[in-house]
Amino acid sequence: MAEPSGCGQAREAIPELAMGALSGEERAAALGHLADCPACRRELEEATRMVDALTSIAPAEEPPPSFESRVLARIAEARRPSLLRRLTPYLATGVVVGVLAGGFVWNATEADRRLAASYRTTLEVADGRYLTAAALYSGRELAGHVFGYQGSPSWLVFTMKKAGGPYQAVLVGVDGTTTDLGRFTLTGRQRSWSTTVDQPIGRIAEIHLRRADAPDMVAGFHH
Amino acid sequence: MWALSDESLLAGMASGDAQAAAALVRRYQARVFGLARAIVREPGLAEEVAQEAFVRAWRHAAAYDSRRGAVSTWLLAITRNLAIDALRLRREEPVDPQVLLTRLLAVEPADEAAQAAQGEEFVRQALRGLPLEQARAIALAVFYGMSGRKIAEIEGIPLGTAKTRLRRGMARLRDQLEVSDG
Ligand SMILES: [Zn+2]
Repeated sequence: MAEPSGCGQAREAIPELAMGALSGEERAAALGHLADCPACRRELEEATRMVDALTSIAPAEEPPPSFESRVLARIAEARRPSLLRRLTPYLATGVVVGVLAGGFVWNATEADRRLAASYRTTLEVADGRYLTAAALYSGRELAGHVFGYQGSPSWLVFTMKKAGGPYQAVLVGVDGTTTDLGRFTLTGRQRSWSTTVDQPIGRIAEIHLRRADAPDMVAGFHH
Repeated sequence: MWALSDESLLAGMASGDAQAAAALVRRYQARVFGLARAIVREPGLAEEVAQEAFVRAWRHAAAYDSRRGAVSTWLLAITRNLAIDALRLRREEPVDPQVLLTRLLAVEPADEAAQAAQGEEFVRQALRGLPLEQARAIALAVFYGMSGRKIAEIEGIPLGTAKTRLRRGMARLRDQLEVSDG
């Protein structure tokens, strides 16, 4: 298979991507390329290892004596079940667990940083095999990207170039069936939306974003 | 308890074993707090970040995968992300990169496990071996989460130059550290 185009640009972006320092659009473009390019994914893994090594050189420093007991108290507190807490999608160092079937909206910068972090985990766990990305087009114009992650549950992340909506997200399976994924509106700095899906990512043919006043935006998945 | 591996402590912590949690916190609190301090500086905020890092580690213990790297690497990556988020929320003007770099590089050999400390000293040496402007750019990006654009602004250089410093610096570090591995 020929190397996908855009390696040069992606290589430029990889150090910042590994450091979690890339701005939203550059990051989306780089991730879009990485989804199709094993060579650049290996570069990203290497860069990530370097960032981890650098992170480890911060000098150790003892916290105040009460530190340990305060951490344990916080954990004990968090163990108490609370509905709100159980419904909160926890996001940390790349682990994204979407527990709200209807999807949730992230703040733009946070979502982007976490998307990159999630991408990193996916690479490490699944060697990139389960990640797929598709460009989302409004007519012939690039409107954003859809990233698919295989897992339990599997999930989709939408990153859009512009705020807008409301959109109705619809999944078209490879067998032609359609599934309603929910509605979302992006306002202000919000540029991302994510949702869990019941179908395996490999069974998705297209994602449509329906809107009131224009034809669907469409992302085609090529597995 | 101290003889147990990080992985067993993490597993114990995830299943609600307070002793395992306490042992893991004791084992890593100085490194986690030290990293938070290097990034956010203010001790109160650093403590908040460090506490949150352990709480998140507990929450996500089930998702930790040893094939992805050591528990310490994972814990420090969580800490770094949280500290950078905290820094961004405060929108403080960051410290002079030279101060950060000095803090990172001028370290007495720690009294922790000799091997781990050696590995870190090697990374420090590799960083010391870089042209100063590359080391500064890397420190700003890794510890403050700054983009090439922001580094260009702070250092008063064109964007292309900032990106080149990051890229060349990382490539050079990688060469040196790979040589040491082999
Ligand atoms: Zn490539």
